[in-house]
Amino acid sequence: MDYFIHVAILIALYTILSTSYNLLIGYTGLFSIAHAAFYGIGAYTSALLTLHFGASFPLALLGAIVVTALVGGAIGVPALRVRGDYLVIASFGFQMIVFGVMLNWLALTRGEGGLAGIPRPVLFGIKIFSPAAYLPLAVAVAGICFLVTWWVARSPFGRVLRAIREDEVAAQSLGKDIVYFKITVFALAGGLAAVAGSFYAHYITFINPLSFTLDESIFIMAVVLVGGAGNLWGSLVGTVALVVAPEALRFLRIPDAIAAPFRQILYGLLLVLFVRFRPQGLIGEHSATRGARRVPASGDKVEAGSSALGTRLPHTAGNGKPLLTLRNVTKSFGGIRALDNLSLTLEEGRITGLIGPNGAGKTTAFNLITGFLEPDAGSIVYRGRELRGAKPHEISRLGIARSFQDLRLFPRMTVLDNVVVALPGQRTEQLSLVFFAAPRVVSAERENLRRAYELLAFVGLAEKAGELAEDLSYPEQKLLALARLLATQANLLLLDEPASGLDPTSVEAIMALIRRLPDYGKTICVIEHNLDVIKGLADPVVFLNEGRAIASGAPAQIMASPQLADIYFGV
Amino acid sequence: MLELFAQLTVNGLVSGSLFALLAISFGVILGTTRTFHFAHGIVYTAAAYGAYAFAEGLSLPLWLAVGLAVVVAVLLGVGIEVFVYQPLRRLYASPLTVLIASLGVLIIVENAIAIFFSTDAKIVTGFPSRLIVLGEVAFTTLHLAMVLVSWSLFFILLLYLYRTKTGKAMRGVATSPEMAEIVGIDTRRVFVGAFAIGSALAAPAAILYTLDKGATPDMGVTAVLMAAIAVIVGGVGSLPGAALGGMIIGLARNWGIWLLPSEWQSAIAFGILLLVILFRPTGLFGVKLRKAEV
Amino acid sequence: MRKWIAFITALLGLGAIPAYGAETYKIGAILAMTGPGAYYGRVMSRGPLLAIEEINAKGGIDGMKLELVIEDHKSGQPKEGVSAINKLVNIDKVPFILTSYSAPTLAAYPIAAEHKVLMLNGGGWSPDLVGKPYLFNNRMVGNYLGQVIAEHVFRKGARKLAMIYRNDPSGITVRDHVRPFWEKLGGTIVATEVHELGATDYAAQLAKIKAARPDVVATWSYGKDLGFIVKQARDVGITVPLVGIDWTPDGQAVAGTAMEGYEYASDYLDPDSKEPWTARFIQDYKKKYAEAPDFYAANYYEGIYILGELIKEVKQKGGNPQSGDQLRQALLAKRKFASVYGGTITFNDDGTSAKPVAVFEVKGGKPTVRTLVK
Repeated sequence: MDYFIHVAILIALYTILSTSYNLLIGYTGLFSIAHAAFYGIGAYTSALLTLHFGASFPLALLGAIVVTALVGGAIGVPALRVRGDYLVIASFGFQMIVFGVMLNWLALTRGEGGLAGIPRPVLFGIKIFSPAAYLPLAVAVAGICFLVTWWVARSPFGRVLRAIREDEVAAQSLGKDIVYFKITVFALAGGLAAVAGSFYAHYITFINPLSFTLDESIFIMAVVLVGGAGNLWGSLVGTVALVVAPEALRFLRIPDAIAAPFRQILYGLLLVLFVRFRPQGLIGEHSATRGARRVPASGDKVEAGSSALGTRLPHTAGNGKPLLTLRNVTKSFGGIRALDNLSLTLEEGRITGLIGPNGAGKTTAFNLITGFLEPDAGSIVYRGRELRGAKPHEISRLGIARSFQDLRLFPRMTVLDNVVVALPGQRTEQLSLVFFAAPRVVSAERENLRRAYELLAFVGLAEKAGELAEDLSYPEQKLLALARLLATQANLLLLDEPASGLDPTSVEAIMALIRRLPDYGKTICVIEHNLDVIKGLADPVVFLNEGRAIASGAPAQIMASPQLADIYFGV
Repeated sequence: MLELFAQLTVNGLVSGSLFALLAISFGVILGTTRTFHFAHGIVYTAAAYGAYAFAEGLSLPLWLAVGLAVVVAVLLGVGIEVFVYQPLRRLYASPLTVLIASLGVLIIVENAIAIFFSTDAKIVTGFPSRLIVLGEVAFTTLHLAMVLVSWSLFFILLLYLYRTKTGKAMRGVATSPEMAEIVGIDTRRVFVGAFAIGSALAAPAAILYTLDKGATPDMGVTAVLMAAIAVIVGGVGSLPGAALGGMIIGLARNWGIWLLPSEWQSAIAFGILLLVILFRPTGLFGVKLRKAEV
Repeated sequence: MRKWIAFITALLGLGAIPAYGAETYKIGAILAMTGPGAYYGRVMSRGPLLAIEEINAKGGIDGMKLELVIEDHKSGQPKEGVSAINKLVNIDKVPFILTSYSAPTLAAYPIAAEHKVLMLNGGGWSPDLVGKPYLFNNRMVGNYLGQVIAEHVFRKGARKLAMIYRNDPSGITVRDHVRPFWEKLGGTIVATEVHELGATDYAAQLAKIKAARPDVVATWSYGKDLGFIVKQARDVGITVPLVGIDWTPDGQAVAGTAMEGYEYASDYLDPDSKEPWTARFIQDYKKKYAEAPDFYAANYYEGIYILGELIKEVKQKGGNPQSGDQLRQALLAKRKFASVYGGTITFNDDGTSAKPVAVFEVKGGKPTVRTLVK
C-alpha cells in the first residue's frame, strides 16, 4: 500500500512541476530547460533552512519559494535579450551552473553526499511520518498550486502571456511591457517549482544533486508536451501517464541493465512523436473552448456614443492642430540611408496618406515613431513630448498604435481574446492584483468582454468571436487587426497597408470603417500602394522617396504630377 | 607557477582546437539551415562509437574504422534532416517544435547507444601516442594531431565555401534562403549538404577525443552544448567567429582554473555564455540578433 | 501474456502481484545497473546470482529456494533508491536487501528501518553508513584503506604527497583521515585536487599536481575515474608513483599500460588463493562469466552466504526467517562468519566489519599482492 501512496505523492509533486513549467513554455512560449534547477534550489533552500536554522516546515517552504522566485526573476533578465533557440542554451547553462554549485559548494550542500536527515514536517503539532500521512499534505499542496496556476492562466495576466507567446512584437505594440511579464512569469514558475522541491526534501528526507539533473528537466518537458502545452489539465494527465508508466515498467521484467535507458528512449520517442503528430498534446489548448464563448447580453449594433471606440464627436473637418511632428529624422542601416532628414506633420483629426515607391522608408518611419527603432538624428514629437528613446509599449500607452503589414495577429488565440488583450488600462494584468483583488478581476473582465464585443461588432466580426484567429479568412483577419488596433483606444492610428491583398468588396468595407474613425476623434496615417484607397480616404497625402518627403498636398494634386508618377512607377 | 600556466596554456590550445572544430561543424548547419540541431550531439557520439565498434569490435585497422565512422556520422546527420526536420518544415512547424524534436532524437539515440554498448567509457586503441616533453610542458602526439587536424579542416571548409560553386551556393542560402531560391539554387539540396558537411566535421572531433579520453553515451550532450556556446560567443553566422569562440572556451577553461579550484572548470563555459548573453548577445562577429523583427 | 496482465494491473493500481509462495525466499538488491557505475551493478549482481545458483543446486536452504530481485538506483540516485526499496518492501516483501552506493542507501535506510528490513552494503564507503541498526557493511571503510597505502609509500621513502579525490563525503573522509596521518608520520601534502564522479577529463587537476612536484600521487577515486586519472597523469608527464584504494578491470582497460606499477590497498581477494572456498569461487565465477571476480563480486557473493547462515540460525531457534528483525538479532548474536576471502569476517556493533586487507601492485595489467596487512 505504501508503494502506491508513494506513486500518488510523486504524481502530486510532478503536477506542481509540470503545471508551473507549462506556464513558462506552454503559455508564454519561453523555452527553458532548467526547471529541475528551480526544483533543486527550492529543495536545498528548504532543507538548509530546517537543518541549519531550525526553521519550521511552513517557514522553510516560504523561504524556498522566495529564494527560488528571486532566482527565477533574475533568469528572466538574460531571457529578455535572446530569442527562443538561444534561450534554451542560456537555460541549459543555468541548469548546469546550478548543478555545478550543488555538486561543488561542499560547505553549503555537502556535494554528492547530499543532505541527510532533513526533518519531517510538523504541522499543528503533528509530525508527518508515514507515507499515508504525507499523502493528504501532498494533495493539498498540489491542489493549491494547481489552483494558483489555473487562476493566473485564466487571468488577464495569463492572456498577455499567451499574446507574448504568439507574437512578442505585436504584444509590445499594444502597450504590454514584456520585460515585466517575462520576469514575473519566471519568478512565478520558479516559486511554484520550489514548493515541489521543498516538499520533496521533507518527504524523502535526503537530497543530493542527482535528483535535479538535466534528465529531470527533460522529463518535466516530456510531461507537459505529452499532456498538452497551454492546457493545465493536460499537464495533470501527462503527469499521471508519465509517472505511472515507468513504475509499471518495473513489472515488465525488462532486463535491469536496460530498463533506465529504455525509459529514456520512451520519453524521447514521446517527444518526437507528439511534436510531429500531435503537437497539441493529449489535451490541446483549445479542446474545451473551441467555438464556444460566453456572449454578453449587449446587442450587436454599435450605438452612437459607443464607449468602446471613445465618444463620438460632432463632425469637424479636422482642427488642423499638429499631433505628431517628425523633424529631420535620419536612419541608416549599414550603408543604406533609409530615412534622410525626413520632416512630416500629422494633423489631428485627419487621415494622412503616406505613399511612395518600395523602399522609400514608409514602414521605417512607422517603426521609428512607435519606438521599435531609434532614429540616428532628428526629433519625433507627439503632443509636445519627445518620443526618442521611449520603448514601444510606453509609446503605445501614450496613445499611438500601429498595425503591421503582415498583420501579426495572435493566431492561436480566439478572435475575442485578440481584441480583449489590446484593451488598455487593464490593471488586473498586474500579477499582484490578480491575487489580491480577485473580485475586481472578475468584474473588470466582464466589462472588457463587453467592450471587445462592441469593437468586433463595429468591424463586423461579432459572430466569429469564438474562432481562433488563424482560422479566419484573410479579409476577416484584416478586420480583426483593425479591431485590435481600435481596442487600444489610441488617438493616433498608423495603418500599414490595411487594404493590401484584399478583393475590391473587402477594400470598400475597410475603407468605410476607416472613414468613420475621425468621427471618434482618431487621427490616422495610412501607408498604401492602392491609390484608389488613398484617393478615397486621405487628405493630405505625403509622397516619400528615398527617405525624404518630396511632396505633400491634396491627393488629386499629388497624383496628377507627372514627375511623381515617374518616381512612383519607377520609370 | 609559471610552468603551471604554460602547461595550462598548452592544454587550452589543444582542447580549444577541438572545440573550434566542433563549433564550425555546428555553425555550418545552424548558419545554413537555421536549424538548432541539438541532435548534432548524437551524430558526434555515433561517430565515436562507430570508430569503437569498427576498430575494437570488428578489429579493423584504425584508418578504416575512422573512415567508416565518418560515413556513419554523415548518414545519421543527413538521415535526421531528411526524416525529422524536413517533414516538420513542410508543416511550418515553429523553431521550438523542431528543437524539441531534435532533443527527442538526441535522447533516443543516446540511450539506444547506452543499451547497445552499455554506459561505461569505451576506449579506442591503435593511435601511436607518444609523450612529448618541452621543458616544463608535456603533451602527446595525439594532442598534436588534434590541433593539426582541426585547423586543417577549418581551412579546407573555408576553401570549400569561398572557392567552389556548391560552397558559394551554401553561403548564399545562409545569407538568404528566399533570395537563393529566386536565383535558382536548390535549397533542399544545399540543406542536406550542410548537414553532411557538419556531420563529417564532427566525426574527427569525436574520434580524436575518444582516442584521448574515451567515449561515453552522454559525451554528445556536452559536445553540442560547448559547440553552441562557442558559436554564440563567436557570433552566429560567422565561421571564423565560431572557431575563435571554440578557442576562447578551451583557453578560458584552463586559464580559469589557474585561479579557481579545478572543480569549477565546467561552470566556466556557462559563465562565459551568460556574460555574452547579457552584454554582447550578437557575439564577437555575429550578424545583429534583432530583438524585434519588424 | 502474464507480463501484460501484470502491467495493466499495475497501471490500474489494483494491487500487488502475489508472492510465489512459501517455497521461494526473495532477496532484494539495490544496485547501479545503469549509468556511469554500471560496471559495479554488473559485478555486484553476478556474485549473489552465483551464490544463489550454488545454494539452490544443493536444494536451497532447508528446501527453500532463493530468488534475487534486483532494482536499479541508476548509479547512485537517492530518489531511485527510495522507489526501489518501496517496491522491494511493499510488493516483493523482502526481509533482506543487498545495497550499494552511499547516497541511495542513506535515502532508502529510513524505510528499511521502519519496516525492519535488514540491509547489507558491500560497496559504499561513506562514514554515514556506520552506526545504523539495520545496516551492516562487509566492505572496508575508505579511511582505513587510505591510511594503509599512505603508510606503505611512506615506508618506501616518499615524503611529499599529492592527493586527488572525488568531491563527495566518501572522498573527503579519506582526505581528512590521511592528511593528519601523513603529517604525523612526518610528510607534507603538496597538492589536493578534486574531481566529479564520472569525469573523464583530468588535465586541469593533473597539471596543478605536476607543478607541485610531489614524490607520490594518491588518488581516492575508483572505477573508470581511476583509470582516466592514471592514464592522463602519465600523458601530462607525471613520472612519480601513483597509488590509491581501488582497482577494477574497467579502470585497467582505460589506463592500459599507464597502470603498470600502480599500487593500491583494498579488500583482499587473492586470485591465487589456496583457500578451498576462495579458489572454487574464483574458478566457478570465471567459468560462468568469462572473467575473474573482483572483491565487489566477492562481497556480495559472501553476503548471500551470510544471509544463508542467518536464515538457518533463525529457523533453528524456531523463528521466522522472513523477519528482518530476527535476521538482525541473529547477526548480532553470531557475528563471525566464514568469509570467501579466506578465514572469517566479524561484524561490529556499529555495522562495520573486519576483513583481510592487502596492498596490491599492478603488473602486466593484473594486480599482484605485495604485502598483507592485519
